[in-house]
Amino acid sequence: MKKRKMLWSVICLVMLTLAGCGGGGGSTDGSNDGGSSDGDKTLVVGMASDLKTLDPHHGYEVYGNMVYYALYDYLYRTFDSSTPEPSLAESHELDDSKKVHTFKIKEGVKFSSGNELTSKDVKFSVNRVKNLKSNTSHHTENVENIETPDDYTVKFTLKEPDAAFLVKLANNSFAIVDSETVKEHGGTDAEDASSKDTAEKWLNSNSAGSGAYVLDKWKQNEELSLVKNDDYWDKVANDKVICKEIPDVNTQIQMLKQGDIDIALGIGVDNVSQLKDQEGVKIKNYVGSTTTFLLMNQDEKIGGPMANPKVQEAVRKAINYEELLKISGDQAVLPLDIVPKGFVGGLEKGKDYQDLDEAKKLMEEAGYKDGFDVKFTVANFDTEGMSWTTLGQKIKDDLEKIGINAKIETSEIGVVIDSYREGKEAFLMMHWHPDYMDINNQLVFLPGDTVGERAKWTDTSDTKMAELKKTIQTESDEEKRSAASEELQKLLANDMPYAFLVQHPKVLAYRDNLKGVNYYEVQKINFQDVSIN
Amino acid sequence: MRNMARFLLRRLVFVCFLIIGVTFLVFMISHLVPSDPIASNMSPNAMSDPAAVAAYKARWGLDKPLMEQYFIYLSNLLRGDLGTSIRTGNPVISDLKQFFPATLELSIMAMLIAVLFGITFGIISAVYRNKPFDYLVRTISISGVSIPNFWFALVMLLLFYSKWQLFPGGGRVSSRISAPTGGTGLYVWDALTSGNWALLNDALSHLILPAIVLGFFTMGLISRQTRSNLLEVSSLDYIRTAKAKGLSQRQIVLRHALGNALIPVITVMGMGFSNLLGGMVFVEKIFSWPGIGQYAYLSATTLDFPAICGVSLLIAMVNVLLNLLIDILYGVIDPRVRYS
Amino acid sequence: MKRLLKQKNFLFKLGLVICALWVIVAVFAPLIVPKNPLAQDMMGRFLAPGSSGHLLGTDELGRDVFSRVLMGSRVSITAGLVTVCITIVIGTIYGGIAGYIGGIVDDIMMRFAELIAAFPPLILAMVIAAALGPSIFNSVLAMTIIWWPNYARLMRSLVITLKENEYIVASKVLGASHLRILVKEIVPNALGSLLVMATLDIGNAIVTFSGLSFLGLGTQPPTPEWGSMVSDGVNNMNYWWISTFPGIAIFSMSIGANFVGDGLRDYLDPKIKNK
Repeated sequence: MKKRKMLWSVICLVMLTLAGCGGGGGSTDGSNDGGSSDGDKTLVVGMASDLKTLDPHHGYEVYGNMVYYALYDYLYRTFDSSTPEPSLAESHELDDSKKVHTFKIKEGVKFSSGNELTSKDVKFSVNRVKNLKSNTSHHTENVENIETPDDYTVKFTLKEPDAAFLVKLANNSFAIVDSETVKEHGGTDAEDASSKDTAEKWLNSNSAGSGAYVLDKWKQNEELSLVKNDDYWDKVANDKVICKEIPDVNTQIQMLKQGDIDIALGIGVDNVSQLKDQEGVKIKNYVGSTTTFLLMNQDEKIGGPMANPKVQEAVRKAINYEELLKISGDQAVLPLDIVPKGFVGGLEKGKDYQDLDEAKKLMEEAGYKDGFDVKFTVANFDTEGMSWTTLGQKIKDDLEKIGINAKIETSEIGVVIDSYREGKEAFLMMHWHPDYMDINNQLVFLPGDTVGERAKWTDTSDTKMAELKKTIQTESDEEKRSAASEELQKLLANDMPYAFLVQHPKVLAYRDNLKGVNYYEVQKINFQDVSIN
Repeated sequence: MRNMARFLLRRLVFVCFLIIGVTFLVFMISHLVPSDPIASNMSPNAMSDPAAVAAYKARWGLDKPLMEQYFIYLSNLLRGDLGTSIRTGNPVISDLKQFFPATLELSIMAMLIAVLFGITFGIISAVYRNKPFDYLVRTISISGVSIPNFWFALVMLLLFYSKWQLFPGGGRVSSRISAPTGGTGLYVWDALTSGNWALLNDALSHLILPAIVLGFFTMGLISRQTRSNLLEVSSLDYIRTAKAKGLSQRQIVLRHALGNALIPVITVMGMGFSNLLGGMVFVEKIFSWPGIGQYAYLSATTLDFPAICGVSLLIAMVNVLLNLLIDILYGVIDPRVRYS
Repeated sequence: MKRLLKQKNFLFKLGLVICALWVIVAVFAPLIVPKNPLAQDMMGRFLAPGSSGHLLGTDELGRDVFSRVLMGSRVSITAGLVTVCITIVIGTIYGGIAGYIGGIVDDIMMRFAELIAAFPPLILAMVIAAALGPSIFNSVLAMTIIWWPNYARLMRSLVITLKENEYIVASKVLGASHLRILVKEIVPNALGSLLVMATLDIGNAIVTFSGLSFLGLGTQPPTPEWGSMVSDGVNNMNYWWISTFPGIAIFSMSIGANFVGDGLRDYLDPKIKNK
């Protein structure tokens, strides 16, 4: 009898404690709304990032610049998706050969170590990137040499004229680090940096920058916290930023609803409906720059029927773009081909681009009247919340109408990317997220270039195309560039191994007591602009 | 005593063999990988540099025959070097160190809940056999054993977090509290030992829901096992004597039967824990719990073979060691086992 | 009602009914689905249950959830059944041989089986399925690899106990061949326990398979299957029906199998039988 009573009382005690903790936890969570208990203005952001490194000279991830922009200074920064704005650069001169760029930089900018930012730091930074041979180094390839005539002047000599150079400067490959501090911790900009530089580890827990924030702590896959830099040369509207890794979208939504996070970065077009009409929450859609496309391998041995240009055009004509647009959400765009809306000369498709009769005719002409089977590789991934498997099933459905039986095979994104980079895929869905906001970056789709190679599109004999490519890359006159861009797109529209699906919008959901929130493709959120009321 | 020593020795030898076997198995499986890890983990720039590729290959021993690669791996293992994760870029051992405490905390809590409630329910069920309470408990137990835990986690999160807001959502601590560093990594323990009541409250409240979800299956298992053992023991001779003496069902169960009945339950705990480690993958994913389960899932699907080896090894070893502990415990309690 | 509930084998019967129903659904699915489970409808996405002819609503591509749940039973149940069948065959042969021969052969064989069993089932299955490539076949393969040790161990212990049995010893003395002993004495006695374990395992197998599909390792889209359907709905929890109904399906099948297994065990266990 006694034993039983004791057992019961123990159980009751335990249950009560658990319930008490649970209940207590629930209530404290709901009461917060921007700012922690001690009065500091802390911004809490929920995200599902791919952050691998906080060393800007190694970074190549989508969320990289969100952090690098906050910690480091750049000569130029992009806000609006097309025009770079001078940041650290006070003046810019381009010589007649179009290869030498001279910049004067701001004076009196201090790194978090106390050292002053001078031209030697710029030189060190860019040379470090070049010699590290990291994932982001190819952006600096075109830089022949850097001179520093005085403490506040930097002269870049390029190998070839580059119309997108200023835009590239806004990419983390040109982030300016404190050369003294980095050297102290094993960094080097010498030719053997790729094997001798050991500063990355230190940079993953400390920042050596002059940006609006200083790195407080980084626990990979858990959270990142930044603290305001009191000596920053521009305004910072809050004191602290905490970025929490919340891979589950629903959790992000719930946390946003209850004010546990102020901004949710992982929300996509499909689940944003949960937040419509939600009190205290604002939703905004922005035109993004990431495009999802279908790749059809030109090599007959790999692509089979997909290598046939008539089949490729049939695929393009068979897709129901109107429905695609519908599922892709507000602010989604149908780019004509390689140039997204917002980039120089970007053209769009009409909603009625689809032409099933034409598609069927082309299939017949190609000799596939009865259709064929093909493996369709679709990674388990999503672009801005739009699930590829959903898109893939939609495409499969559309293609069935012209006789193509696309057998969907899903895989993890890492595995698919590896196969895609080797050009081994016959028919796959992929996305392209620009490294920097300029049409030059989109030229990778052309034959012989990065993505072209992956589609085994190697025939570079088309002189017209080569000419247009050169113009776009080097011409500094906006109008001439735009005209060349449009001509190139029209040239490609019916003759390329791709089918461009949709340019995805970015959905941003945030608490309505925030001001200054805007979404930018490169840095996602410009933390220093966001104020909490 | 000699029997005890021999018994222990036999078990230990077996465990060593098991661990080696596990490393071999894990190594072989992760090399079933048909794709090429080089292309997915080196920058396009670096890949065009043959020196960098050669260095990478040498680092992983990718150009040596398989058996040699295995021995390299084994010797590194003994030195505490588990290789470097292809996905995160960190040494696997530091990745595991980072993520293990979260999982440890979760599993301890889950086991606690499972054992506490499991045994209690089992006893109630046996004592009030065939009464409505028994049926209720049996339904709960059998639900525990049958329910798909990924779905259960979703439903619980939906109800308790979204709808009724009784519990906080994912993560180990509230979003506005910065994650504590240092200490053991077990937030509850660290909070207790440092007297940080706010953190304790917060960490506990985040721990409960995933722990309940994770422990539900094991609770069902233990409950059912306890009940059936109790009933089985109840039919034995010495119990019948007690009954003849006029003792009530309650007295019989608690005073006489419980002790003997609980012994086999210990083995079930071993099986339950094993299942726990598997269920971890789903629960951690859904509750955004930064632990080994998530790490295992990400490593497996990105074919990150150093990480796969490392995490499988860790999990298998934990499993093996725990079962060893249980075997020893069982051997201590039940003399019959030692002499087998 | 009370009397019905009190009936000892009420749960067993209930389980039997549930399982039978699902099996019938699985077999006749193509004939009884009200709508084409693969038919997409962009205008009718995310419709709530009960709207315009969709009993359980529609999913993210406008497909009828009810039809997909019915159709999904085919893959889920078949995968579970196949896994259990193969593992029983492999496990019993393996365990039977080990137990019967005994000695060092038994030791070695069982050590190997325990090696595999040392892994928490899901982790190993996940690794195998990921390494071989996601597909239904590979997932079933992965599950059989991790599951057979259970049956091997069961069979082995049964064989060992039975070996000492008087009838067996007597048969041996009388000159019966090994094969005859195996078939006539051991197998029939073992069958009961095996059957119990198998039925209890079917539920578990279905749950595990749907778990692997949930992680993206099993069924490929657009094939309807319970696990992958739950995963489809994860990003759209406000459209709760997409995940809930397939989940209920898995749950009901699993619990049904468990009821049956429990009932069988109670029936075959002499101690409880005699009470």
